[in-house]
Amino acid sequence: MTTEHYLLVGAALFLIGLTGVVIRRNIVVILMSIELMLNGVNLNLVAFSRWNAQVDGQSFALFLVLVAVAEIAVALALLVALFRLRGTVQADEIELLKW
Amino acid sequence: MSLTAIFFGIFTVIALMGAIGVVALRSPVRSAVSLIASLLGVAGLFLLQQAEFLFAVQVVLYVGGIMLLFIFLIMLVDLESFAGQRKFVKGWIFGVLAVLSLGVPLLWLLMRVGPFAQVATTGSVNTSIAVGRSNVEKLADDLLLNQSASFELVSVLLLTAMIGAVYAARRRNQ
Repeated sequence: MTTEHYLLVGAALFLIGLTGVVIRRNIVVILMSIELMLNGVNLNLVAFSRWNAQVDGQSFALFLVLVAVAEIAVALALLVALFRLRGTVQADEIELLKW
Repeated sequence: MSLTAIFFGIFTVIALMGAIGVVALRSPVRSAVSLIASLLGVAGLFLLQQAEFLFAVQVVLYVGGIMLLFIFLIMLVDLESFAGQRKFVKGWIFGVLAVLSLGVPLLWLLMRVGPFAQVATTGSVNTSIAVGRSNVEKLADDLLLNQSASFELVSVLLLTAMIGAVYAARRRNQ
């Protein structure tokens, strides 16, 4: 399989994740969609790392996974705090800062 | 059709169907299970590209760690009360149009790139990463020699995130 096949799969994962972020109401599912987008990016990094015959891309992908772990831990903690405060996890019901 | 192509197809279908399931399924628990399938599919694609260490990281960290966090969150947050509500936001069709306006040009461009395909199929590139030392050894060298500063920084980031998560989620007693 050539690099562009992996790039296509990565782009498709990214786009599906982006769709989830834009159209879903439940913040839990939005966070899952963000994970999907990060996975699409990781797939791109690994594909280019192999194309380049270097491991730089793979170590970059590893850092990306670790940053994603940090991000999701903080996001889930914030979501628990938000649920205690507001009693909702629907993205379009949190509208205090909306115009 | 080579064995690699067959496995590529299988893993791609698992990853993409799982991803569609995450977005399309109503219950967040089903979305989480669908996400597990998608992450495992991506892990398989890593394995096909000789990124064995990332495959292990993907299975242990994502499927083991992050999914556990999600399941815990679903248990902590009372999602039953939202069960009967709409899945999508109002005007979701505009969101889909916005994504399509990015996605159609992106996929069209990726279909048209020739050079990647030509270089990667010559064979010399693929074998050069396969022979010699193992993937884990090379990755360890790169991480601990070339990128040691980032390696230390990311540990600080993880510690900060851990403390921040505990602080943000603690129960405030008035």
